[in-house]
Amino acid sequence: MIHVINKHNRHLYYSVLDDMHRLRHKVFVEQRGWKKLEKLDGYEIDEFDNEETTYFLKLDRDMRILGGMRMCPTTGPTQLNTIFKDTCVLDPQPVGAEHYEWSRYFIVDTKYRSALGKPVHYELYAGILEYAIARGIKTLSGFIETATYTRSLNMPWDMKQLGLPAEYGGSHGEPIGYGLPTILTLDTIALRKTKIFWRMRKPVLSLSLGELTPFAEIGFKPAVVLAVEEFIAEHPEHIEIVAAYAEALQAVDASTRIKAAEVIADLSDQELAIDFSPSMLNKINVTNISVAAQ
Amino acid sequence: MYQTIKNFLDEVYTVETIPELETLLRQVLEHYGIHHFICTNIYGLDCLADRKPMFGMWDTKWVNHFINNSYYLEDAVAQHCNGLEDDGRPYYWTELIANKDLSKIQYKIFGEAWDADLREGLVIPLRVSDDELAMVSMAGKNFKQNSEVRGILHTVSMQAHRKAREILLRDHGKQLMPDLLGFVPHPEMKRLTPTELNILKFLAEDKTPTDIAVITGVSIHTVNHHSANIKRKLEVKSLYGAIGKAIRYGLFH
Repeated sequence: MIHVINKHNRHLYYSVLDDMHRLRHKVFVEQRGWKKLEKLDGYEIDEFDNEETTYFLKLDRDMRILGGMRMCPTTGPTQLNTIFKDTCVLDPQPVGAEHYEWSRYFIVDTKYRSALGKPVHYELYAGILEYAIARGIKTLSGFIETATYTRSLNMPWDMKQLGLPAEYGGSHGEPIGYGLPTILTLDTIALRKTKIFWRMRKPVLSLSLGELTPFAEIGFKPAVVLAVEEFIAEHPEHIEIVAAYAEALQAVDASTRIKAAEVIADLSDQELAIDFSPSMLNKINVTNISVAAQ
Repeated sequence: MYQTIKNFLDEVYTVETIPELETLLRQVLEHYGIHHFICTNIYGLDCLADRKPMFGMWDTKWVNHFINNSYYLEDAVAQHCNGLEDDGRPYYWTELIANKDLSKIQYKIFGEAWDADLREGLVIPLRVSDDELAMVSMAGKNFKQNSEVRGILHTVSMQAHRKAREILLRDHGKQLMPDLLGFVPHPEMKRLTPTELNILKFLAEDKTPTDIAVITGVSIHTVNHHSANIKRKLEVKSLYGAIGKAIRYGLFH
């Protein structure tokens, strides 16, 4: 499943984010040789890793990171309007609340396959598209490797160039890369086609909330994830009860489900006590969850 | 400066046939001193044999000479493209000559290309997937060579290849993505609103009206209202009939 981590729930993912920054250092600095990002402490963090950044991470059952990507709003500084500002020679990067930038795509284990034979990047891209479309995000722009762009032309995506392929890097002993600024225009048709193309039928976004709910084989529809996110943003004091509730609903075998029903019954009482929003109860219920072993 | 390439990018989307694409290419490439351009399916495009040209505007005399002498067996350009690391970077012929340990016959091929007025060339690998690789090779007498031109020519090659692939697959009875890009909903399905289509899909997934009301955040009366509209528009008596019709008309592809 794909975990969405942002300012609302990152305090539950401290150790995961810690692992992510160390992994990024390993991937981007040690393996790809991006020396400018090198840090003595072994953590790769730049100015785009901030309060507003959303991370998408593919985690296994033991909360180990298999791959990830980040998404930043274009209302602040972006790679395309700072580091790569001279590359958008064909069209500018669109700016606004509906336009985001994606970057730092990495896969730790390219040979990994899920139970249904899906590689990490299928779930990662599908998760990001699901989330972005549910959020009303219209475009995802970013500077990507040319080889990645060529491969993306095989996908049912409206992905266009904002500039020409060009070399980058090459200073401070870095290798010379070859990439270009691109923009992906999002719509539900593209998401549907993508999931059909990759034969993915179930949602891939996880509602696991850190170590409280490590169960990783349940997919939630984006609306549920967003509803939870909004609720936590408004009521951070109820985070633990939400996590417990989500965990209870994530049971797949019959005996655990029975226990879950009991937990839910208990929780309902507590919800009444804490004035839990009824709309939350409606959104996080069994009909809105699908078992996604993909 | 970038108007030519911008126009090309706009126009390439509207192209319907390979000859149209070649005409469009000619207009752009002659501007950069290129009169030989060939995009070859190295392997993986099912509707074309391996190493078969996909499109281009090639120097026939040179191509015949190249084939008659079986140069394709040892040509440094093709060999290099096949063995490239997967970074999609284009290479000028002069870079290959300078950096590679070429055999006698490979030098000879470059020499003869020079004599045929193909004095500088650019080779661009286009890897669509692990199983599919194409290669663009272009050359000319007065080839302009700089990083910006390389970016423009790379862009032209990528977008032309994408379009050619789409056309070739279509003409061979296939789709870029089977059953997807060519899928057009039946006219009867077009009469349904997006909300009604959504509800129909939920019904097909064995969701009850109560489930749908919860999922979509509307009242059950609203769901029933939409359901009634679906039955009326599709001229069926029950929602089972509506789902059956939707399946027949390919809604659930």
